[in-house]
Amino acid sequence: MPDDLAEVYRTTYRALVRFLYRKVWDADRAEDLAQEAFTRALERRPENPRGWLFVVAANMARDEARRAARERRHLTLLSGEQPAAAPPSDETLHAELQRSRVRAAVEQLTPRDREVLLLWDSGLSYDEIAEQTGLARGAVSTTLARARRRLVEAYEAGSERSHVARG
Amino acid sequence: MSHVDEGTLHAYLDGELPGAEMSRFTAHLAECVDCRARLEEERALVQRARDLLALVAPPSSRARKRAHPWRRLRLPLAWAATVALAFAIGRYEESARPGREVKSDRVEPPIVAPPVVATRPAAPHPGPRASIPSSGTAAQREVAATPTAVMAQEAVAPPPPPAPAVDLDSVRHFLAQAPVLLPGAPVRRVTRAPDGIVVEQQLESGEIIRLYERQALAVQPPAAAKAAPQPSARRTAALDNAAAGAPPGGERLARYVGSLRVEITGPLPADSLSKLLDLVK
Repeated sequence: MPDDLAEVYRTTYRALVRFLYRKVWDADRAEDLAQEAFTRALERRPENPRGWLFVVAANMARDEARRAARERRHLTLLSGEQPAAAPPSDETLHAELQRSRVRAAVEQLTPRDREVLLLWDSGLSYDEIAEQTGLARGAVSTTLARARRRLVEAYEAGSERSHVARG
Repeated sequence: MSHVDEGTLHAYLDGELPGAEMSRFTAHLAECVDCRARLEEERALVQRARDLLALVAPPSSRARKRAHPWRRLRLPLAWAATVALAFAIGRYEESARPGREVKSDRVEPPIVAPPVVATRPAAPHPGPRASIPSSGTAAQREVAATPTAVMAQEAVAPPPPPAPAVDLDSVRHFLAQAPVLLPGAPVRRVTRAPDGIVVEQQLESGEIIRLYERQALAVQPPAAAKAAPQPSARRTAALDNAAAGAPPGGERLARYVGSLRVEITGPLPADSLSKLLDLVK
């Protein structure tokens, strides 16, 4: 691996996995996709590998989501994890519930808001986000502000619905 | 200056406000109570959003392996299947060679892996997924063997000799430095491994743990890059390797100690090995 790409790998790999995970919601798949993105970067040697990796990763995640949607349509009867050996603790259940609410809130964002928010959280600068999304630099900050607000509102609305449902 | 907009507040909080705007912004903020209050509200919002996103960070490799133990078997099973296939191909080539009889009762030399060094099939692509370099076991040689090589191998075909013991002075030659050890545990044996050494140390409880040490430079760059960056990700590659190559009944974890890559195995649970590995210096 060339030095520059090795450095990008060192500084970006975990962020790229995190970015992908919040799109495909499968940690192993996110790692596979991140590695695939780096493999492609090795072949293509892009000028700006960091930005390029996130573009490629976003495209791969999109393809992955389409593929997953197709599989869900065809294989609904086969879904389902193996039951856990022991019932989860209250703490585990609570944490899992919180995660699923955040996930739902992330998925409620518009694609643009979500993209900008996840790219920022992955460590990209406003300039890098602008370059990747095609937004003007000034629009990145307003999009990010809106995305954050909507994320928090969607999460809290989900929590309230849950409390009402439980009485 | 009129009140600042939401985007400007977030750009300021993100440290992304350009210099020219920054001076106007701070001047306005100094005299506008409303904007100062809004800034604090937005600061709380930014923090809240960050906290929420942190809740949906990908689980660690270790947590995933606990949740899906079958994944630990996936690569070892693939490796076992590869060895079996290579063995079958080797036998087929042998039987297909003209002028040579195949004795059905022939005793095959056992396939013995060197201590600690586990093997796995080549990665599907040259990506950053860590892989342990080939150690050249009999099985792997069969995978790569040409018919000529197979013949040459059959002419010799001795079982691999046990790894020779080496003294600690020789170790400096192999590692270009003194070996790292688990403090307080007597060294039972030091042997040569393909590109490093294996140190066997005995714990107070009597169990023998093995440390496979080699220069980090000998490891594939992607693996080194992957394992090096952040303390939290220190063992990611190693755990992947462990999933692929853990010997029966044991785990294998690794980390970098200075310029050495150190892998630990032993008849202990992964958590215990992990704690021991942290003590190695």
